[in-house]
This record gives sequence, structure tokens and C-alpha cells, in this order.
Amino acid sequence: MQQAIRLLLPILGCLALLVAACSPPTAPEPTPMPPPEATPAPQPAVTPEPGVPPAEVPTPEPDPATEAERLAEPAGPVRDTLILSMGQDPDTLHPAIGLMLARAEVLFAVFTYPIVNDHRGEWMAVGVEEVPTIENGGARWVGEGDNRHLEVTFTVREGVVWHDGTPTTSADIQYAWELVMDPDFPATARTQPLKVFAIETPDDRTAVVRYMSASQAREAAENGHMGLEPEFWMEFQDQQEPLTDPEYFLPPLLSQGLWLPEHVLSDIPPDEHEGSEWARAPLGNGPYRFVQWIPDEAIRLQAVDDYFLGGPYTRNIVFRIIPDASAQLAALHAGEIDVATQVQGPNVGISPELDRLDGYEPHYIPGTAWEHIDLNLEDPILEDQDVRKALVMAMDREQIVEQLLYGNSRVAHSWVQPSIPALSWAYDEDCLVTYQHDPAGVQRLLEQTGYTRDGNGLFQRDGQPLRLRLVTTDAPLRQNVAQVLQQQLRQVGIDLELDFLPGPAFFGREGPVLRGQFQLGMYTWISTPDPDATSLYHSRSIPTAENNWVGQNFPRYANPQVDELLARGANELEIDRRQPIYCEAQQLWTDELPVIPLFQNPIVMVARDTLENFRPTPTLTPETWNIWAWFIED
Amino acid sequence: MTTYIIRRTLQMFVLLLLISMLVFGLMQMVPGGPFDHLLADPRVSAWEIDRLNRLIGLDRPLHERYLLWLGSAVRLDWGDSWQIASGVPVGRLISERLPNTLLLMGLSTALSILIALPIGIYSALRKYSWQDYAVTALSFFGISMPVFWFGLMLMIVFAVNLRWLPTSGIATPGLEHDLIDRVRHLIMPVAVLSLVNVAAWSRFMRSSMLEVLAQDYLQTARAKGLRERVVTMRHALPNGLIPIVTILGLDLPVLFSGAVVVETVFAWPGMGRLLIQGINANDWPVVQAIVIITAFLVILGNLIADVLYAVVDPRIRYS
Repeated sequence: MQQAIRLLLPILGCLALLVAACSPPTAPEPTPMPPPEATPAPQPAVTPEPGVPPAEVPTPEPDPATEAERLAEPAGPVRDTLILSMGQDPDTLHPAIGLMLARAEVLFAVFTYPIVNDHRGEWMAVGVEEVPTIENGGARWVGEGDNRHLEVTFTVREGVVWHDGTPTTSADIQYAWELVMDPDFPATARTQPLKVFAIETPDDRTAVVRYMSASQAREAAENGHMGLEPEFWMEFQDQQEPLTDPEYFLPPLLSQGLWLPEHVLSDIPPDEHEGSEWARAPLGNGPYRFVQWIPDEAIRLQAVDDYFLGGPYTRNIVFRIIPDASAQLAALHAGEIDVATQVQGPNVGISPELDRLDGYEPHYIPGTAWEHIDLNLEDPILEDQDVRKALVMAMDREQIVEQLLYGNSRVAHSWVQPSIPALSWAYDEDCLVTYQHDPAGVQRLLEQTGYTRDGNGLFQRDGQPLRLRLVTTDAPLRQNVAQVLQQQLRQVGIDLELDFLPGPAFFGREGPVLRGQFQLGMYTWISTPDPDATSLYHSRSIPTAENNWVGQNFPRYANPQVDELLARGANELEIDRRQPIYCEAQQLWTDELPVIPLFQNPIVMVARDTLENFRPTPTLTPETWNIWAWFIED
Repeated sequence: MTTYIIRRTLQMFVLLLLISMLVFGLMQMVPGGPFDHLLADPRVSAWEIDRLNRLIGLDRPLHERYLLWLGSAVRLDWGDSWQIASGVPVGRLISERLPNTLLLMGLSTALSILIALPIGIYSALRKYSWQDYAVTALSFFGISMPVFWFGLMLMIVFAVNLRWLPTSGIATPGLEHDLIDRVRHLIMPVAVLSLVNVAAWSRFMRSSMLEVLAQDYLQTARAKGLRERVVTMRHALPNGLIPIVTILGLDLPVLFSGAVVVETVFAWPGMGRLLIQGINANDWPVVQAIVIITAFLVILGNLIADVLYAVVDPRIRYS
């Protein structure tokens, strides 16, 4: 008997350990370290191409009067601590390393950003005096012909001070850019920074960013620049136009352009930043100073005295890390946290729960993120436009929004979303071909292209059933949406098979959408509030084996007319010139339907209903952008 | 005995080597590298990803990478995290979380022993009585209960409805040194972990005791006129405890590797969560370090259990 136990116990023990190790926690789906599922953060970027007419730069909306919507001010004593919950621990607090949305919330409290995107989706100057544009002279063209280039001037606002008392200067902008351009620094996205030739600092408060002229771009493609290899400038080998960027009005650093304290960081060699203590305990210049980071548990911040914008009214901010969605919900119910951010990513499936919370208000912000299905136009079945239209008509997208999103969103019809004020000029229903759920229409279209129903009610042609495969990630909401779509299609007679992949496998370098090994691919795009779609739907952006799989045009959409429109739209200056361009482009696109737009992904946040000045944004700017003004009256 | 230990130790090193190769190979088969997810952003070119991969040595052939890793691992240098905490040495990540896990697992193991043993003994002594059946039923309940669900239920009842306990975390922000606060945060996770152990271990104890109680030598003890209580406690129990030694030996690695589900549900920053994060993020240095250390502890735990077994039971002799 004892022998039996001796043999059995280790086996049972190992089995138990295996089971324990293998059973996944029902956690917020495993977020590939950075972008949480909902928001694989792709932002359409313009790649200037040779042969395009004069590269004029797209202008952002002019600065809104920031006083237009006054922030409330406390009338009496306020609570001294606010607790926010996050779904995961940031990988680092160094602003220039990695790409992580969880980090942005903390960074916006610790740093003052030069320019932010506010709750209307408008660009607003905070750390600098104004958003430099062509109109206000902040950005201007200099030089002629091959030497013509863009110069953007940033003026640091008075009163922006690092937490050790040193004022923030233009040297900090220059340093941040030079750091990112250093070959030994593990930067992850140099797309905008590498278009800059140099940054000059004529005085302490002025930084002049000089973008590359055509000749400088060609030179860099030949010999590199600032020590980086020429391969970075590969696409500019034959550049004829000066280099520009759709976000030229932001300092050229990722994370919406941020400066770094030169007086502290220049002592650290670029390759040692990643593991440095500073990356775990940054010196900022924002309304809150860093106090402590208990790994995987909490990050604590404390208010500075006298922030130049006023406040901060709340003394302490704590970010608590609660990875499990149910535990986060329980914490809300128990009143332990004041703001729940990233509430289970895009899974508005718990909306009824959120609506029931006492003392809290859920915020569903229709963002720039939109869920969609890419249709692989190189697939023999899908290259037929009628089949694509039949597909969208077979789907009941309204039902999905009602049932799975509890009505907290709306069906999307284009890559431009309607509800962002800063983008409203680019969205017009008259410019779109929209589709309704129409089973009769499906029948008509499919019969037109030679499909007939077989004995089981499924469509088939030449003995081959109409069977398609949808690939997507294993995020809970996506699984639900996919299964509903499968049902809807089956009812109409189309057989849809489903494939769920973990996030990294779906988006990775061997992933199905990148490699074109898919028929239907469902995921989310996020964009900045600009309708530019060159990197998504221009034929130059198709990833192929020849170009080493670079590009985001996964449907492999190639329409010369649309190509020309998108390129023009990206380079036009004024809204009234861009508007008809995008109208026509969207008309063609929605008619050809390389992509089936599904719905806008609402950003879901929960905050105490007594929290003042809570203004989440529809873009990648986190809700903490105005955290200096947050308070709860006691 | 000494030769036995030496032989087992040598076997341990061979086994660890094989395990490390296996894990290394398995991680290779996982699609995607640690930076691939960055491709979802159009501002990141494939060229940058390749460059980043080169920076951490992913372009080198597999066996070369393995040998490099092995070379540092034997000096207990587990490398830097690629993803979970960019640039931070894996050793530091582990040392930050290990105390939390040791606290949680250590307490729950201790508590489980304190509860399971008496229950098991009691159950054995009152075999087939209604108390025994009650305990048996509760044990089955405990073993079958999904840890995740039970944890959430406790959270809802005690933290949300009654507000007697905090929902999750190791401490209220700002009160990390307050003992009462720490204890309040420990109660639920420890209770959940203990439930499973108590259920299982009380069964082991019960069957072990039953086996011992059936032995003839106890008849002799009773014949000598000893009271039943003395017979049980001084003569039966020590022998009944022997299998518990094995259990504890097997439990050693769990003290280190923690419990993923409980740690996630209760937002406990421990080793279990670290491992899961590492796997999800393709952060191989982290995963490898944890797996190897856990494997080492499993083997060590078994060895200790076997040795102790021989120590407490003179009938056992290894050759």
C-alpha cells in the first residue's frame, strides 16, 4: 500500500502541477505585452512616395481655445488619494522604449506632454506654447528645389519644470530625438524621427526641427545618418520631394512626441537606458512626481506643488494592477478603486454589469478604433465583387452591436469613423455605399455569379460548396463576434469556418494576414484623427515576399484611382481641398469592399460619478491627459 | 546512503540539462518572437524588428544560443527580461516576486497541514461514522471545487457584500507595513489554496492512519494496558505520518512556482503570474529561468523526501 502511495503521489503531484500550470486564468486575455487585444495600435502613416505632386503637409485642426470648456474647480476639501486600476504592469516607464498602452496612463501623469489629443480628438498645446502649423507660421518651407525642406518650431512654455527644479528646455527635445536616433538605443519606431535631419536650439525655449530635403533623404539612403544604417532610409533612394510626416506638428519622438530630461539622462549611455534605474523611476515634469513602483502591484505618484496649469487638486495617485477582469469588477463593487481603465479591453460584454454599479458611471467612448474583416482579394472566391457584397449583406451587423455590445457602439461603414468631432469633416453618409442585412439580396447576387443552393440549403458552384475561413485572435469578444457571424452566414447558406489564434501569432511576422494566407481576417485598426489611409489601402503598402513583408495593406487592395486619391489627400493642405478627395475615395472603397467594416470599438472606462473633470479621449491619448484637474469632493 | 545521495545528485544534473534543452526547443516552436506584436503598428518596420531581434541574439543558430544561455545559467545569471520588464535582469524579477509567493504558499501549506492532519486522524479513528462521511464529502467538495470559482465566490461574499475583507492585492496602497492590513489581504488567497490541500491531504492522512491502525503491534500495545489515546498518538500516529513526508517533499517546488490562478484572481504579484506573463509575452529568458528552477526544486524535493523517508523508517535502506 505504501509502495502504491509512493508511486502514485509523485505522478499525481506532477499531474496536478501540469494542470495548474496549464489551466489558463480566465483573465483579460493574455495581452501581448503591449497593445491590449482591442487596440493593436496601428496608426496609418504616410509614406511619401516619389512622383507625388508638391509634398504639402496635412494640417491638423487649429488649436481649440483651451478655455472653451472650463474645468471645474474644487469648492472645498477634496479626497487626498485617487486609485486607478490597470490591467497589467508596464514593462518600463521609460517613454522612448517599447510601445505600451498601459504605460501611457502613468506617463501622462508624470510627464507634461508638449501636445496632447484632447477629449474631442483635437490637438492641444500643453507643454509648448502652440501647435506649430503652416497657417500660424510655426511650420514653414525653407529653400528651393532639391534643398527644399520643412522647418517646425516649438516654443517651450514657461513654467514647465522637471521635478528636481530644472526647467524644461529645448535641449530636452533635441536630446530625446538624438537618443532615439542613436544606433545603440533600443528604439522600436523610428519612422517619424528618421525623417528629421537635425534639431537646432537657438535658445533655451526654442527648438527648430529640420526635416530632410530630397537630397538629404537620398544621401541618407546611401550612407545612413547619425550612425544609423542606410537601410532605414531604403524607400527614399529615389526621393524627389522633401520628407514630411502627417504628425509633423509633434516633436519627433514616439508616444505622441515627448521630451526627456537631458541633464539627467545624457550621463547614461544609450544602450544602458533599458535596464537603468531611471527607466524604473523616471524624473518627470508633469503634475505628479514618481514615488514608488511595487512591481506587479502598484505605482504611486504624488502631486507637485504649483503645477503651471493649476492644481493638482488630488494629493496622491495610485495605479493598482488588477489583471483579472472579474477581480476588477469586484473591486469596483466594493468601492476600492475610483477609476477602472481598460475595462477588459474592448469587451463591452460586461456592460450590464457596469451599468449596475452603484456610485460609478461607465463611459463608452466611440473611438477611432474600428473592428473589421479584411477580405483577401487574391483569393479566387473573394476576388469576385459580388461575392464580397453578398457576404456583407449576409451579415447582420446591427444584431451584433445590439447583442454583443449592448448597443454601446454603432455599425461602421468606412475606415473613417463618424463620432469624433475633429474628423467630422471627412465623414459623410452620402459619400458611402452602405449595406443592410438582406438575405434576398444575397441570393440574388450569388445566383448572378453562378452559385446555386444544394440540398442542404448551402450555396455551391461547380460542385464546390461556398466555404470560407475566418481567422482572428482568441480575444473573448472576437470569439463571440465570429461565432455569431458564423451563425448568420449559415442561415443564409454560406459555410464559414473559424480559426482563433493567440495575439502574437496573428499579428506576428509569420502571421496569416501579413503573409496573405487567409480569406477573411478580423481585427481592429486604431487611427489618429486623420482620414489618411495610404499605409492601409494604397497598393504600395501591400506586403510581399519581395519587399520582405513590409506593409499593412493586408487585403491586397490595388485600385489605381484610389491610389491617386489617397496620395493626393495625404499631401493636400486645406480641409475643403481634402474633403472631396476622401469622399470619392470612400465611395470607391465602399463599393469595391476590400474590407467589411463591422463596428466602432468603444473605449470602456468606469469612474466614480463624483469624479470631476474626467474626460476620456477617443484616441490613443489616455484619460489621464488632464489628471491635474481631477478631484472628488470630500 | 551517501552513495545513494551522490548518485541521485548526479542524476539530477543530467535531468536538469535535458529539461533545459527541452524547454529551449519548445520555446522555439512557439510562433512569433518577443517583438512581433509591435508589427501591428505601421510606424514599426520589419527592419526594426529584425534589428531588435539581433540585439538580443535571436539571429544566431539555436545551439549557439542554447550554449550561451547555459554558460550564464550555471553562474546563476539568467539574463535580462525581453518584454515583461525591458532590460531588467530576470534574477531581479524573481527576487521581487518570490517573497510574495513564499509568504502565500508557505502560509497555506502550514495551515493545510495543521488542519488536514487532525481531520485525517479523526476521520480514521471514527471510520464509517457519520463524522467520517461528512469529512469525506467535504473533501470531495474541496478537491472538485474549481479554484478560480471558489476564489471569486469568496471575494464576492466577503469583500463585495460584507466588506469585511479587501478584494485583492497584497496591501492597501500606503499601508504596506501595517500587519493587520497584510493579514486581511492574506486571508482569502490562503483560504482558497488551503482548501484544495486540506481536502487532499486529509484523505492521505486518513488512509495512512487506517493502514497503520490495522497493524498487529497496536494490539500488543493495547494488550499491555495502554490507554487508547496513547496507543493512537504515541504508537500509531508517528508511523502514519510517514507518507506526509513524501507529500511535503513534492510540495517544495510549489512554494517557489506559486499558483497561477489564485495569484491572478487575487492580484497577488507572485511567481505564478510571472511565469504566465512570460509565456504570453514570449519572454523566453523569464520562462526558462522559472522552469529550470522549478525543475530543480522538484528533483530536490523528491530527493529530500526519499532521504527523509529512509531516516524516519528504519526498514528502508537504499543501496
